Amino acid sequence: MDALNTLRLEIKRLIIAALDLEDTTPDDIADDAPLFGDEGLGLDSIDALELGVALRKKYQLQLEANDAGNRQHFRSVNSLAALVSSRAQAA
Amino acid sequence: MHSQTEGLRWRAPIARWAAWEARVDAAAAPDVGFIEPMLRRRLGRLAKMALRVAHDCAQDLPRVRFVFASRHGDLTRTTALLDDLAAGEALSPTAFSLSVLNASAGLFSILRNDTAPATAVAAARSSFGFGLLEAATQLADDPGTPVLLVYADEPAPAVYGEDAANTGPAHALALLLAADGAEPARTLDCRLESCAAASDEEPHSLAFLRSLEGTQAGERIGGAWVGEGRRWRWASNGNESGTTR
Repeated sequence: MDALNTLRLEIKRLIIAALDLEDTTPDDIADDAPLFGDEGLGLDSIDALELGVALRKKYQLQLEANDAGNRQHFRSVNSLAALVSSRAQAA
Repeated sequence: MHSQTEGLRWRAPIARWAAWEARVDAAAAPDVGFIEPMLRRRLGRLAKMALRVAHDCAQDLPRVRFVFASRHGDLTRTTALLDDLAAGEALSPTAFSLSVLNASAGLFSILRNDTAPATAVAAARSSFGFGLLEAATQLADDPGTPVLLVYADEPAPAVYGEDAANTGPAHALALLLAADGAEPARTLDCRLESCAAASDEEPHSLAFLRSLEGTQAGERIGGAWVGEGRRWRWASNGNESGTTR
């Protein structure tokens, strides 16, 4: 549980740094809030690409561009943390 | 018939202008608090300068044609991308999308939700002159609506050498060319002709800005800039008849 919380915080910091969210702190991002669209953090499609690059650099995460699962993986900090930890266990 | 060397003449009715310069701190950037944070976070200094002066000059116009000119564009960003490529690193999609010359023009459209046409011009050291010519040409083509010219430039990264860094301080200048029927603050007669003399050290945009600075609306101005085999001249309408100077 602690490891997953640490991972969530790490992902929030990664999002803030990679996407230049200058006025945002990790506390501003709820674990289950939608990252994209108008309701949550309000990120757009360029952010999705940028975040993909950042995740690949930090976690060696391989994502297929036309994978239908990406939308679900990128939904929230929770779903990203689940993806990163499951890939790490599989490796 | 006029040959190219006999020169080109056109008129530029200036409704108003705005400028920004990194005069004291070479690394300074203008305040762009009028831009919402989610768009602002992505802006480099060049875009911030361009959008600042464009906003100062045209914020009250819901729709305005836009000509963006720059010698280097956002070369700082492009250079960082090239460095990443050379190092075998993944490129930043955000940086890539904003590295093109017309990025500032696109950001201006998005920021204002303005679908008016936008044009981007780069012509080495002659970029300001050809940007002004482009804006005046668009106005002549359709005099019914104003045209906004924005010039922005900053020194190129050191890897490009001394000449490319010789842009003067980072600066941006916006000129709003008045539509027919609007009373321009001043109308400039502009001329372009061949000239064999050595290029001026100071950039054209700064020479033009210096002639505008400290003047009142209606006050006559004039100047010339030589570069890349051409002389560009500008003078308030009537100057050449000898009414002043």
